[in-house]
Amino acid sequence: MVRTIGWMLLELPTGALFWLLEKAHLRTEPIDIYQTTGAMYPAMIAVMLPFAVLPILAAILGLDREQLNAATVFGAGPVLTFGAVVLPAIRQAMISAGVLVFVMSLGFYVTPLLLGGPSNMTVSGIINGQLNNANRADVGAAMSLLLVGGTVAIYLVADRLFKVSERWG
Amino acid sequence: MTIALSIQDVHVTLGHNEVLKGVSLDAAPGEFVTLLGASGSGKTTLLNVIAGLQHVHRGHVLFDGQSVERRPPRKRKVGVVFQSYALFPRMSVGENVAFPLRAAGRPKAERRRIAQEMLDLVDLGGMADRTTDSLSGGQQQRVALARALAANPGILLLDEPMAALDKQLRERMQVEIKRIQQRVGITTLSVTHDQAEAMTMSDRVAIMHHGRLIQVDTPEQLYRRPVNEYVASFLGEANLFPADGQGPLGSGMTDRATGTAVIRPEDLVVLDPRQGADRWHVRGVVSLLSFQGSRFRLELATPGGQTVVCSLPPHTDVSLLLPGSEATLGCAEPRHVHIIDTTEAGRLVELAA
Amino acid sequence: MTDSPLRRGIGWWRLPVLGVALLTSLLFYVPFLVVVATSWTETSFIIFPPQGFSATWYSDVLLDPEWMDAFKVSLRVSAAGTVISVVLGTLGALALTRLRSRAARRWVRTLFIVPMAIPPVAYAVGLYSVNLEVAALGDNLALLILGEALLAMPYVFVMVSSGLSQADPALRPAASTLGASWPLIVWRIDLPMIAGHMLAGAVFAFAVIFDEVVLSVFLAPVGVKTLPLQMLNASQEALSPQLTAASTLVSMLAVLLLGAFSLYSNRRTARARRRARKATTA
Repeated sequence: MVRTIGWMLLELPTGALFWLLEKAHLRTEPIDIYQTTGAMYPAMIAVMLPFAVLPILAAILGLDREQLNAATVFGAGPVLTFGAVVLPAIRQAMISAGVLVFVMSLGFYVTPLLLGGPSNMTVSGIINGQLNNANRADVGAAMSLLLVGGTVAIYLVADRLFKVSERWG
Repeated sequence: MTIALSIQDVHVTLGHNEVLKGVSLDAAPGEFVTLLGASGSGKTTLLNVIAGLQHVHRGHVLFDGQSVERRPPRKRKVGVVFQSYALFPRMSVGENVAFPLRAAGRPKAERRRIAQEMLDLVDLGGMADRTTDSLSGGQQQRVALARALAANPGILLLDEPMAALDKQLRERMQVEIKRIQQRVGITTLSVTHDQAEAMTMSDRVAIMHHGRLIQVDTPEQLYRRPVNEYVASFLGEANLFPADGQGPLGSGMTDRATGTAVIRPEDLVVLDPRQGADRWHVRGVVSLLSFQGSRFRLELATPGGQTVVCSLPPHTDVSLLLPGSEATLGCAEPRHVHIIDTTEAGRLVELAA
Repeated sequence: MTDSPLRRGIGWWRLPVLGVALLTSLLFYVPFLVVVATSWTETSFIIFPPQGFSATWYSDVLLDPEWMDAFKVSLRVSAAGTVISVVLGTLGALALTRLRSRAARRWVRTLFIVPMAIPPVAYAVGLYSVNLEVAALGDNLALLILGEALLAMPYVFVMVSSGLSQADPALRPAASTLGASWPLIVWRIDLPMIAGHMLAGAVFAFAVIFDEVVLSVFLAPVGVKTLPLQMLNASQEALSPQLTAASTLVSMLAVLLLGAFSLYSNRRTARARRRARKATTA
């Protein structure tokens, strides 16, 4: 929540980003990314990053030291070492992290609401609108069912393919 | 392209722990030297120092007389067989063996040819396209060896090469690796805590203890003439008795001791109690008698609380040696008794050597 | 132990990687610094750079019953939700270790982790209908607490089962061959092993619930607001520095809590390591 508010202040037309660019003499007019799709991305990345970093970090800490040493001793440079040892070992974790971030982002509410504005409603936002403003609980419920079904389906397919669940614990 | 290795007064400190306390060792081109020691003796650290995986705090490592402490591992041209073999997953056997050549940027055709040669050398000719996890432990070890030799390194390093194999395979692979090493003629340094392995494979064995080399010698010399009690009991079984310059001392004369006599179990014989009086002997109660195929193993508990181990030929009449009975043991051949000088003078001679 | 093999293997590539990592960390710190900076302005609206320097807005927030009530509601909801999620998540993790079939284990594990991916709004809608049907639940926090606990439970489950997977699997059979009944096994063997992981799960669950807003939007009784909900409302109205002052205070609290927790768990591991070293040298 606090981070999203921070991004909001940063991206307001005359917010902190504008101040910074103005100081650097890069821009004189107010910037207008607030309440656009472009405003959502950096904030969503910042909020979701930990969910990607943690599983990948675990994979990197679990790298086989002897394999890294083997690559070094047999003359491999950084690129070859990365390709031969590091990447194969963390590929699974990277895919799992990606899947998890993707499905979690599907249900995003606060960040798009504050930064994307009314023209960039996420499903969660629309459902909220149906229930609290339009008073159509039935439509909202149907929408949530579809959202849950879609999310769970994506997750289960990814889990079958890449064993996402086993990354966790 | 085999090289002469020289390690000169190498010190390594990890944290507050001095792991190597001034180690010096030379290996001639083509020689097979084994570092033998208990875990924590610093032997693997020394191997890493040679490979360049461990920074040296003091001292020198010379390849053919050239100092290599500042040379990064990838430029040292060493071949290593890692303890876990560290074969790269998701690469075929052939790709694994060709990896050092790929890293050196050699053309594909040459890589393929040399990898095939190396696999033939280790008797895995038809396996180039297999995946590494479809191989048995022994085959994986051969692949690791082929990979270590592929780029024609100057020195081969083996880190506990048999640790992941079962006992029977171990003995076969020891002979096999030795055969390949001799065929290639490469200087080899192996690390192990298994004394049988060290004796089978090596031209010379270096005994390591608490970060120091205690004795470097041929397996036979180490067994027959250990420099101290640690080496004597680390390599094979040994019975240690107080001794003077001539030989072991009987009970009651131990205050004259200037050294320790090392008597191997096979150098002890059972004496008739009546004939024991005029020569050195040790008396006790038989605590264990077991038949081990090629020998009998006899354990004697002396009144002083020492356990004396004796190995008897398989056709000995043991009817009088059942557990609980009294027995007297003596030296079969006094010339075979090695005496470690424990006086100050003796220690100095040892240090000078 | 040798020099880090990864560091050596990747070589000079570390520099650009480090550079990208530092830039990425700006994504976290810059917005936070902006929030903190704007909170000490003397003006009555949020402005950057802040004008002047005063703590007016902090005292304003701390004396404002609206903000303080929201804070108290959040504390209550988070505490209750944490307790429920820790109990349920731990029970789930323990149950997992007692399943014999591999397939069953896999499915239970997946079922416990999938909720992490389910959008909070779906829970909200579901519980919202319950709210409408059952009058007794209409104006208290029960449903909200239940929903939040469900959201946080997968995290507890994941942390506790990773703790259980590090344990020696022979301990439990060993205890039962020695005649221990299952309550005794859970109490004397399982719980001591996972206590640290349960605490970590509790801290994480508390943080998740405290920061959660979607459920509050749907389920908070009329006139009752949780802190995130209060913040959301405030950020959609006129931007008062009250908002950033409150944000700063909450962040400080979170940093203190996490700092205390990591200090505590570092102590724990250091103590365990010392004990292990003593055991090997003795």
